[in-house]
Amino acid sequence: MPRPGSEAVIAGLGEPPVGRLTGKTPTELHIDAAMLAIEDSGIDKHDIDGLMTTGTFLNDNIRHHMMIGEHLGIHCKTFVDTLRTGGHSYLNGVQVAQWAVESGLCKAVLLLRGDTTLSGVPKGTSMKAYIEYGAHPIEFEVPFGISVPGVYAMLAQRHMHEYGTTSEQLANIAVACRKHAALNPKAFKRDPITVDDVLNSRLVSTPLHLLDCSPPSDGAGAILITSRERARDLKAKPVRILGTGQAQSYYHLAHLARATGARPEDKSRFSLTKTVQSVAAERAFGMAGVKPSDIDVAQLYDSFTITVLMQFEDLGFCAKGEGGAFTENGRIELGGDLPVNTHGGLLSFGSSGGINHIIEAVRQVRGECGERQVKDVELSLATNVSAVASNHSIAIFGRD
Amino acid sequence: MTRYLPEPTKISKPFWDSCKAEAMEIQRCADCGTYAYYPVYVCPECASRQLEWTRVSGRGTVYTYTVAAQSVFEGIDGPIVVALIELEEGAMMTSNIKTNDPHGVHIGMPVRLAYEPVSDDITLPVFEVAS
Repeated sequence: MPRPGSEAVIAGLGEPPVGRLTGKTPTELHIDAAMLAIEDSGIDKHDIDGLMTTGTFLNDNIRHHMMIGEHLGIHCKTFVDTLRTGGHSYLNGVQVAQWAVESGLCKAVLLLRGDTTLSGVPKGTSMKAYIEYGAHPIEFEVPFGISVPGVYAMLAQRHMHEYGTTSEQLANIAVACRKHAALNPKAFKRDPITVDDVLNSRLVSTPLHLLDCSPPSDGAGAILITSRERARDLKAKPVRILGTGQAQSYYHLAHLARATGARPEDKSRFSLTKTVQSVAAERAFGMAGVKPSDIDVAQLYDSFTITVLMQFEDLGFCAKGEGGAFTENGRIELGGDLPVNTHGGLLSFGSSGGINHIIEAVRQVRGECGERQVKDVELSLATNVSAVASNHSIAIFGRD
Repeated sequence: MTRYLPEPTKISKPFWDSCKAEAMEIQRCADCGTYAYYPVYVCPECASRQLEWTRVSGRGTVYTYTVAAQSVFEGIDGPIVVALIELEEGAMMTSNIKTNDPHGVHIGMPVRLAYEPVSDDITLPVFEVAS
């Protein structure tokens, strides 16, 4: 545990509009988000001595964080990086920033994300760009026509086979996200949808329908992490990072399914439908000293509906195999036991990767969510997931 | 999008050569007996370097699959079946199931190895429904 006062907290948030932002560039979105977070926190930019960016889809290079740092005039840093762990770069970044602050390496770390994955990618070229960015194994999976929805579809198919999960149960997740987005003026997709709408939308890759898949979206986000004692002098209400955990497994689907290389006694703990998120969850809940049933609101990474459903199980909100039933009877909607993705999630808020899940989780603790605010939030959880349910990070936030 | 074809590397060339010869071989660890796929430098289970290229039976079962409404590649008319196949030897492979009845595929279905030449140099290992 860090000494009292040196504990890392979230001390500033920046979230520019999301959706179709024609004319914006990824760099501009980074700057927009950063300026909002600096303004929100009230920090003097000269006190920011840590900077992390998270790469961009079409505009990436090994000097990415340097370019952004120059635009912002953040001169001498004692820690920098560009994280490229895909959809979990953001919560991964929060944890790296936590270590940097709590070790004394940095006073304040700015974590940024911004991209134009909708308006900035010429039509028909996104799959090629994604493959060439390294999203899927190019020698042993891509030649067989693998796609992002396709691999999550294979997870869903297996989950259905093992546990009897249904398309209706997956659809409940998309419907809940859309209901919440309708209460969020910033959300990209706000028209109400029903379970039937999801089931009647185009089958992209069985068993996933179009509305099981998060749409591409432009967007950005910024998070400022500093120590609890420094945050006392800042403007924003600090939010504590009570527990964090990470776990990452594999790239090739076959390795994921086999838990290749795991200790023999651990092999049965992991498969395509049992992810290493359970390890990250044990750490995060253990550090926070709380249990899943204590969580008031959860922002769960939702690249696809199945991504969320499996997390109910791997995070411990229900037993393995009961994720489908967990989605029923309004449990995951506002007013239910565990409101999920109150901003609307990737599925309906739109995205910039997983950073908006973190921002929403922090806002719920701050009590700034307006119509979608959960009452008296004490504990708020966020997750990021990437690379076919392989890379996981979790944070539990609480009041100062 | 033009189809991406494998570009064999030092470690994977024997595998792709065996597919071209329509006699697929994967590595078997001489120390622990694990069949490894894709081609590796050390056994991922026991770290042995004693890996021997070994012909497989070609029998397998469907571990999971998806029917994609359309292929991401030009020139391949959808729907296509992308699947994770568990080989009889225990290794798993991402591949395709070639069938006229894609929606008839199911988990646990027996399949057998087949070969699909896609260029002068590359033959992809694919699967057919076992009769």
